[in-house]
Amino acid sequence: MKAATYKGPSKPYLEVKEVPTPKPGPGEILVRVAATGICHSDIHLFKGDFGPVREGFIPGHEISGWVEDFGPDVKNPWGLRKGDPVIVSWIVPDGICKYCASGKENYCPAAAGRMPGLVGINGGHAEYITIPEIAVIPLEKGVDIYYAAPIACAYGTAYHALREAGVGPGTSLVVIGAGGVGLSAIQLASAMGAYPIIAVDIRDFALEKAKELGATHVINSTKEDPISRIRDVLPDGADVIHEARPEPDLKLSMEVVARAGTIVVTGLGGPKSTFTVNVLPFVINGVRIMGSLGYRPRLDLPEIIKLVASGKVDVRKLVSHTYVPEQINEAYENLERGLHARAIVKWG
Amino acid sequence: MSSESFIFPSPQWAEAFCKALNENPEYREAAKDWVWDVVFVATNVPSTVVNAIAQLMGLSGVTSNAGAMKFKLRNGTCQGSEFYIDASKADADYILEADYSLWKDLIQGKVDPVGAILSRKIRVKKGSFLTLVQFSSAAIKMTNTAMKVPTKFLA
Ligand SMILES: [Zn+2]
Ligand SMILES: [Zn+2]
Repeated sequence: MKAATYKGPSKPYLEVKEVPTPKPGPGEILVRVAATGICHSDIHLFKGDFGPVREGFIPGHEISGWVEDFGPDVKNPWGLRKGDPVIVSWIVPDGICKYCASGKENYCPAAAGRMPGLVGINGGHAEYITIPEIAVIPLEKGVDIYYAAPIACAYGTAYHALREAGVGPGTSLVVIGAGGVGLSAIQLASAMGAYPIIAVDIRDFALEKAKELGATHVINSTKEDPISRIRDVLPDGADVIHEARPEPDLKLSMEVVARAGTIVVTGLGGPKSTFTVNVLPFVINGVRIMGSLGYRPRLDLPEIIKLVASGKVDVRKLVSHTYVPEQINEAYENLERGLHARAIVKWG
Repeated sequence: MSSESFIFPSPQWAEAFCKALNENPEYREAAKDWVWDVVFVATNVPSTVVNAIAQLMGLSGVTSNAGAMKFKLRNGTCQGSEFYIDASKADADYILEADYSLWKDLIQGKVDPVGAILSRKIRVKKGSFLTLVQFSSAAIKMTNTAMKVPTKFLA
């Protein structure tokens, strides 16, 4: 099969070549890949921020495709059949630990050691992938399978963060960083009834996209003072701030969060990134600051898929660039230059 | 101290306040790291007050119900003041806005400035709230200074 494999931490990071097609082992499903997303976490991976990556590793962790084959001992709780459209979660929980039992499967210790395309197991930048069946989630008919790939990362991450922060009808929301996760958050929050939704970024085209996806106000923080603009709209601050930029620092968030408000952070930062928080306003305003990793594959992903299937969230609006496998290094180049809202690579 | 007193808010009051800040060593010490211009905006200023200010400034046909005073505050000193009858024209690193009645209570010592900021009776329209909170003792010294300015409230 054709696959994009890791070469090393200097550019070009990847090499597109023929590799053996994997066979599904016990409890695994073979998925024929339709599309994969180009995600900022991959850049961290390529540069070695998550630890050394072996040469030949297949990245790609936002995956959509079709069920191709089943390994032995598959329990198949969703009743999947060959040819069914699915998305593949990069969070692969064991399904049996206390975290899984309490619905926090994104924090399952087993999942931390095996993230397709990120840690341990090969990802989806290929024509096929084998994956433990717990990570395979059916897609509703009628959802565009290619544009569905970002559901398994950008949308999932955004949705879980918004849910954890308590976003619902009438929640005032500020999203800092209108990249893939931030834009997904804006689109989902709009469907969930949040109002107003203020997007902050330094790129005009990203803010244009934010408006298209449901932001009620957009602020280019290189051209306008975001603190005073946000206070004009929300004199008492925002109920929820989503720090979705790659290098979150909480500075703007702490200025504009409402009393008893929540700051939820999904940007991973670099290996040495830290925040500084002024203690007094943090305590007297009862601010909640929380990290949020990924999503709960068996709980969050089906809910997002329903939002998409119902027409409330149009996933085609998020994707700004589509590439063929041979352009994959160019795709990451453009990602690093900040050109994408979200990009996908079509494999099948 | 002269027997003259100044209408609040007005160019003359702003000038007198600026001078009083420079004469207050406690303010100088508390604000020694403050290096930003500040605008204080008074909203809902009663028309009797606005008319008196307009007359003072030689303006006619003023329809404003606000006033803004800008102070150039550097390292515990006041390096100048400006007055704007059109508050939207006043810009600075920090813009603090409150009702005329709140400023009046503050200058009369009836309201605590830090409490007024924390409870958002004084609204921080522009500037870092977090930095401002670190200068709460300067805000108190500043208020004490304002209380010493001979002030005439027309409403
Ligand atoms: Zn991702
Ligand atoms: Zn588990």
